[in-house]
Order: sequence, then structure tokens, then C-alpha cells
Amino acid sequence: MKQKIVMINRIIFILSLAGVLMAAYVLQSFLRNTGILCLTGGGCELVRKSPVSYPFGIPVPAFGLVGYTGLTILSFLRTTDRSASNNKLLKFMLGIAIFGVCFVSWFTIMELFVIKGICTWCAISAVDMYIVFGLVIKSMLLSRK
Amino acid sequence: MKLTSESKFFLGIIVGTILIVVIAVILLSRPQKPIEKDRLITPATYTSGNKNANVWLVEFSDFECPACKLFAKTIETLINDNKDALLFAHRHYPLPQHLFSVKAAVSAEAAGKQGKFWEMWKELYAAQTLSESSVSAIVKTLGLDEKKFASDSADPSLQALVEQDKQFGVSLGINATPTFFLNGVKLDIGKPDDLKRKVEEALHKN
Repeated sequence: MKQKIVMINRIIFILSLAGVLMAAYVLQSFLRNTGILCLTGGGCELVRKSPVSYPFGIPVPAFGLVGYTGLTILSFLRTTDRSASNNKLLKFMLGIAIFGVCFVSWFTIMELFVIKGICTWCAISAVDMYIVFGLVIKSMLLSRK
Repeated sequence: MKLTSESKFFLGIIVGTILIVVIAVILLSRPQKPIEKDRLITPATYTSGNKNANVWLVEFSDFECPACKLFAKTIETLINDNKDALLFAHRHYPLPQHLFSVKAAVSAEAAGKQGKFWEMWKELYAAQTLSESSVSAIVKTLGLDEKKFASDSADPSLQALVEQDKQFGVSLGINATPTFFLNGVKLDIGKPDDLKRKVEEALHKN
């Protein structure tokens, strides 16, 4: 059981770190006005240049960077403390993951129906966040048993 | 806070990742080497302005791209205001999501065969939402020989020219339009005003 929780935490950590890297790459492109390497043609550029990608004036990848950084730090902290506070950390992670899932879902809908362009990195990041959310739930269920 | 062997393993990954990011930042922020003029402006490339100007601007563009249309007005102003000091060149970069973009680029080349590339360039951007009928209307407006235009548009060599431009753009790492090169250096700009400022700075220096 414990081994399973440890393994899930490792996966969350790796996925969160990958999310940090993706968000940082896309954010630097937003801030420097440079092209984004994109598997979906010019979709990333359409997304970068759309006002929808700046909710409250903040570039969308900045939200991703903060969220994934939080998840990375929390999953790291879980390895240092195996006491009762571990559950608190997991609740924090769940909070971030719930916000993350809502955010990526909203943004994917915006990409499809308003911007009409898909950014590869946003799509990968959305899938990443869904998996992290699923793993946090799984981890919570396992730690309750 | 007690570090377990698992924590140390995680820390190792974090440190490794930070190192990779630092190396990437250093590599990405190195100044770019300018691309030679004869690679960016080939004998087949349409240009406007003074061919011997010290300042030359090359655009990779798609006639159906809304941002390209926005920039086109600024480009026209820059060319008109600096006829002797600036050379502007158009290279095709039709995007796959714009279904008529390749045909539009070929249409511009076909109009060029009748000496009206830049007139077509202007009209294609103005129309933006392009189709066979909108291009036919432009052909009529410009007073082009319709038969010659139709046969030139079907000429595989013009399609190959457009494809060559696109492939060259891909080889330069271009993945969006419009992409500009000012005196061979790729510009990192977002708005037409940024382009105006960069070109005017270069004109002032030369």
C-alpha cells in the first residue's frame, strides 16, 4: 500500500515538473513575443495572440507555472514528512488539481470555440493536469484505507 | 524537515532540471547570426523599394492570416515613406489551417507574371477571406488578362516556388506568420507598431 502511494507521488512529481517546464517555455514565448514550436501548425500562435489567453491581463501559462510549481513542491514535501501533515499536503494538492482541471477545461473550450486554434502545449498540459488530478484522488483513497 | 532518500532523489531531479533550464536559457539568449541577404531574397522573390538599400526587410506571410493583414498596412506606409532607404521582400508561408492560402500565394505569383504582384498582394490582404470567386473579382479589378492568369495559376512551377518559400521558412525554424527578418535578423515582435519602430531604428542607424 505504502509502496503504491510512494510510486504515485513519484509520478505526480514527474508530471508536475514536466508541467513546470512546458508552462515556463510557453510563458517565455508569451512574454518575449517569440514563436512557439507547435505540432498543430500555427495553433500556438493563434492562442498566444488571442486576448482570451490573458485572463485578468495575466498570460495563461503563468497560471500553469504557479499551479505546477505548487504541485511539484508539495509532492516533494510529502517525501520529507510521513506524519499526519502528509494528508494536509495531499489536500492542498487536491485543491490545486481541482482548480487546474477547471482551468484547463475552460481554456480548452475557449481554444475550440472562441480562439478556434489548438496549442499543442496547452493540450498536453491539460492532459497532464487531468492525470495529476486522477492520481491525487487515487492517492487520497489509498491513504484512507 | 527531515530529508529521506526519496527526498534526495527528488532534489536530484529538481537540480538536474534547473541545470537543463539554465543551459537552455543561455543557448536561447545568444545573439542570432544574421542570415545572408541572397538567401532571404532570391532572384525569384518579389521586392519593393530600393534594391541597394542598406535596410532590407523580408516577410514570411500568408494572405489569409489576419495578423498579416494588420501588418500589411504598416508595411505599405514604411515602403511609401522610405522608397530609397528600404527594400521590402515578400516570401510565401501558407499555413495549413488556411485552406485557400496556397492558391492565394500562387495567384500573387500569377499576377506577378503580368507585372501586378504588389497590386494583387494589396488586394488579397484586403479581401482576406479568399475563394475562387473573390480572386476572380480581384483579377477583374486589376484588369489582368484572365486567360493568362488562369494558365499561370495552373503552372506547376509557380506552385513549386510557393512550396520552396515555405520549405525555406521551415528550415529557418519559422512556425508562424507574419515572421520578419530585418537585415537578416529575425524580429521578435507582436504588433505593427513594433515593426515600425524596429525599421525606423535601422533606418536611423544607416
